[in-house]
Amino acid sequence: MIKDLSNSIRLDSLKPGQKATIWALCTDAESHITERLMALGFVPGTRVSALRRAPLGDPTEYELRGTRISLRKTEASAIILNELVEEGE
Amino acid sequence: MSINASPVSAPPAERPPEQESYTPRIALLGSPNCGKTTLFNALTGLTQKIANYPGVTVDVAAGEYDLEQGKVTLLDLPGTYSLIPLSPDEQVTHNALNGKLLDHGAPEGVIIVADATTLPRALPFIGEALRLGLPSLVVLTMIDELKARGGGLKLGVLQRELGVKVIGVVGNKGLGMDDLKGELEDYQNWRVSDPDIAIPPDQARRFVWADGILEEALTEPSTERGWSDKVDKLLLHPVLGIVSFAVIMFLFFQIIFTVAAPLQDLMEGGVTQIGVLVAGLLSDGLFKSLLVDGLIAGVGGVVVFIPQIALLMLLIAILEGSGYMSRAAFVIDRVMGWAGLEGRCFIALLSSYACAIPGIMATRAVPDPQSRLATIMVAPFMTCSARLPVYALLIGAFIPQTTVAGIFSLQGIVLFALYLLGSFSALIAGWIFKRGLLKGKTYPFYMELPPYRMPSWRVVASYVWRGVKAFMKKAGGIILVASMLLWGMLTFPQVEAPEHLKDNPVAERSYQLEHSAAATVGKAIEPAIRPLGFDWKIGIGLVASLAAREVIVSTMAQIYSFEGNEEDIEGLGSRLQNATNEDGSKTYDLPTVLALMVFFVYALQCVSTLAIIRRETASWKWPVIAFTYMFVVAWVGAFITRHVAIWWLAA
Repeated sequence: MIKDLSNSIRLDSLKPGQKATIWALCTDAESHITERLMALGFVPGTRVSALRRAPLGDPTEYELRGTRISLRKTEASAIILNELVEEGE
Repeated sequence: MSINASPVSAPPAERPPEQESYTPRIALLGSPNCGKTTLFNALTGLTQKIANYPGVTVDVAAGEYDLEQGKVTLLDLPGTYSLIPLSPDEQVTHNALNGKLLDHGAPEGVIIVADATTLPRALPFIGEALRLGLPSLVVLTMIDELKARGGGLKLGVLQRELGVKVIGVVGNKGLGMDDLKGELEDYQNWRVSDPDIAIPPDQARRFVWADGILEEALTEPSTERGWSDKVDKLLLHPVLGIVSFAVIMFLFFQIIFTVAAPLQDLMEGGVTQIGVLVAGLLSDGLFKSLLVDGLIAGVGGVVVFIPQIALLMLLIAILEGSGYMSRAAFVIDRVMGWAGLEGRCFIALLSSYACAIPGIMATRAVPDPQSRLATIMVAPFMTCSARLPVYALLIGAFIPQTTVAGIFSLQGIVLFALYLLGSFSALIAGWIFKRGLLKGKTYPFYMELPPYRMPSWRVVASYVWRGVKAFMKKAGGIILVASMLLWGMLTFPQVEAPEHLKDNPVAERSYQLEHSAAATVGKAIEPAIRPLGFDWKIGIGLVASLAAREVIVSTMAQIYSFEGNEEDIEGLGSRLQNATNEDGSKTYDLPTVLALMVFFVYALQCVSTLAIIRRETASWKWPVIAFTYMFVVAWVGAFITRHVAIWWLAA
């Protein structure tokens, strides 16, 4: 599968209320970071939704795999989404 | 430079488990917030203790559990999402499971604990843990929650696919605990996961493997959290979230001041009565002086602050137990990010409100060694409970008991301001340290906001008790020793008062005090602290408080008790109010009091904190740097405060 990563949608651009499926983890992030993000459930194929941003704009709380986890923009930008982004309710 | 827990070189020599004194070990393993510690507490009750294992600096809670035959030691390993360690405490879990931490190698059994409502994330971790090849039992918590949210789980399917026993419990309600206890009896027959099951070694494929099993075993629950979500809508709201954060922090200090003050008055009255009683029973002499001016004035002067300490611990325990503490970290994370720190550093800094020691130990959850070091180096700026007696004494005596805007106590506001000053200074110092230190590799930041819960009264009570106990231990230890030493230094050398003072006992005692060994020390350092408005008596207090901050309170109590008339039973606060310089002016004018409080905001007067910084950084360099820079900041801060206050009062 060939995909132009420069135009890819990253998790940090997901707005509260939006949902998407994870396509891949960014390979230029350091391996211990991607390892840990995967251990938290951010693996390809996983559905993730953005719940809310912190009052000061960062971090953001996400919901995936029955859990909720907050990431800062830096970490979230290492997670690449499928283009399909559905609006929530 | 690395401050990671150093890996232990080799597993210690094995000792045969048959030996009589040998207690087999069973480790509890799980992610943070999975209910592991609740289970651990339910099983071990009050027998647990914090065990220190050699070679690493992380504490592992250990508790004995009685079997029908013999007993086992249960180990509550630090929570982790992965067995590939990033932070020092995850390293401990990793080492313990790989036989590098405990004597006698790896534990005899592992209880893998997971929250049943989070299985799509937890099952791959269970798989990772089963790949260790240790005899295991899988315990799923929050089974009731899963059902309440419309989910369902086929334990039989899981058991078949994992190849080890799987049981469900509701730890805080005791459901399923009998099953768990039954399984513990049988720990020698726990199974090692069948190699034929072939759990993938690769993480991404382990998730595929787990998703396959859960397709059959799990009916996913709804992710709604009911009232907890509604509370979050308010407390994490873009605007109201910040307002409520500020209000909660502000009320925190108002409560400490307004609620504890009457209790403290009662304690003070009691201590004074004891002093009067003892003084009446004994005839004049060194022994009476030792008891009244040494023991009762010194130790008693500090013990009266137990209500404040207990209340502080109570409020922290409630904030933590209810789940608000992690929300506070979520709200303030951006500010921490500006200082180059992260949410976990914030939690460490918040625990430092109780005491810098647990705060510094909490930095073990911070994976980035640079952030961790920066947090350790600024944690002593967070206003710990040892400062509370000092602030309470000075605020109580010198800040008027008026209200602002009709409802807020001015004393509470001043206390809040001192806490704010310490906290902001910690952030700024953190920013400077992060800039100044070499930038290492970056570590991922993530945090979970657990649902709000009613704090468990048992956990709250034990937290408060531990805080009060530690404080009383200090009073009976370092403060007692310091009081005795100081009494000696105030009493000797004994000098003969000149004739004209002989018929005035107060003047005679003053004369003795002025010529004591302690006064010599105080007067020797007086030139260094005169610019701050401090006299030689405060100087004695500052030197004595190098042992522990509260010692200044016992010291001042002793000095003024020494000088004071025996019949006068006023508290230390009014003694300070009435203290005068040789020229008749008040020793404690407002600029001096403010300067003294600011000095205590910054100075690192705590032997235990220095010791823990040394232990956690494994070097003398950092405690020396911390002590020096904080002392300089304290002096300069006090100097500026005094002069701004003088200028402001004149204007």
